[in-house]
Amino acid sequence: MVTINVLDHVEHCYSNQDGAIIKSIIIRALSNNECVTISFRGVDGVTSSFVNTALIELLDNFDFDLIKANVKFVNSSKQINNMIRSRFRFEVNRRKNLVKVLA
Amino acid sequence: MKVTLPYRLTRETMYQLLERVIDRDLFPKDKEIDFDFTSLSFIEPVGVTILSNLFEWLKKRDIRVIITYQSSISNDKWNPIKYLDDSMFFKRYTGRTLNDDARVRDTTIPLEIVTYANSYQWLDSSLMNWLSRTLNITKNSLTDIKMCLGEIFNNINDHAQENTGCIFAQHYPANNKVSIAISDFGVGIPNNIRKINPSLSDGEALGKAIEEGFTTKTNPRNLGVGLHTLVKNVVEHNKGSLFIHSNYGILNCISGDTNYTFSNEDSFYPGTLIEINLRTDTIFEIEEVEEEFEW
Repeated sequence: MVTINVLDHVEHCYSNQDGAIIKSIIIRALSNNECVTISFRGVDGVTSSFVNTALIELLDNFDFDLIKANVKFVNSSKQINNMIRSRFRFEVNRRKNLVKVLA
Repeated sequence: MKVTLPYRLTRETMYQLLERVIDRDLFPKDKEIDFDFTSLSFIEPVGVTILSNLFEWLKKRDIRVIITYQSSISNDKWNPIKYLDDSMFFKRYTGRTLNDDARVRDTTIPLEIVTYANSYQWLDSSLMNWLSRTLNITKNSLTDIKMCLGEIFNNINDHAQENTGCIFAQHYPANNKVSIAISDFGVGIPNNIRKINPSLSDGEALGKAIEEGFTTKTNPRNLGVGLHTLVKNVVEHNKGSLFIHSNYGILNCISGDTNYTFSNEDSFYPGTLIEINLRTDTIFEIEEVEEEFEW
């Protein structure tokens, strides 16, 4: 089990760059088959830029079911939770509806 | 070249001003422009942002900007020159206030030019402190608004090479309203949207830009999501309104409308102008409570 206290790694959850730092830590842990607990202690809110890079881009490497089973969020707020849920909901549905054909 | 400011400087009348200054090929019309403020009788908060953005756009192009005003300035708070002086407009562009007693009004913030790098800190300390004090509500209750404005700055970072926004805000206590106007003088949102969908007009491009997840995988990677979040929070949650003018495109989002409207204007806006009108009677005190996350 790896616990990531986001404010130990970034000053705020604001930019793509902030998100990229957190994403790389999560990827390292999930690649080692470890569960991840992400703590937002001290964070009042997150932007979509941060969530897109830190979390949504995980879908490029891992199944949504694996992410749901192995990533937990603690010390979060309504704004943070809504942003994470709505971004995942949209992106997972969008990816489900993608059709790929060999040209 | 002399340019007389309109009698009333509002979002609706800014076009005649922009057309006097910017030619059809999107260049300044002269190397030296003398802005005559003497006939100005009214200016909206968004007008302060528009003027500031225009001056920044001209400065970037090494245009000599002159300001002409009447030497006697009445202390009437409705006087637009006094209003601009109190907003620190003249201090920014001439190095000093016109009147020694000019001071930032309780109902406004000073005109600010905020870089992306400083934007989080500025939002968190300056703007949120002012809004919290003005609305007599905890900063914690304003998190949604702060992150919304963060989306705008992330959008500026994505779309404008300058990474800088001119911002001005005013509280209207009698109308339960706060107006916030932010503008950048970059290449505009439509130019970036057209890299993905070249056939769109500027207005159509703005409509596309606020669709959720228009794309999240190109560079800039956040097209659509940030502005979608902004519209959702301002219009759906706060019941306020939102206006965007970028290049020739205009987007209007008003609470109660199921759809936004977009159109094309004959006049070019040098960059992107976003005006947000927030209702203060739909902002409620939120207790500082954590919420457990569930997928």
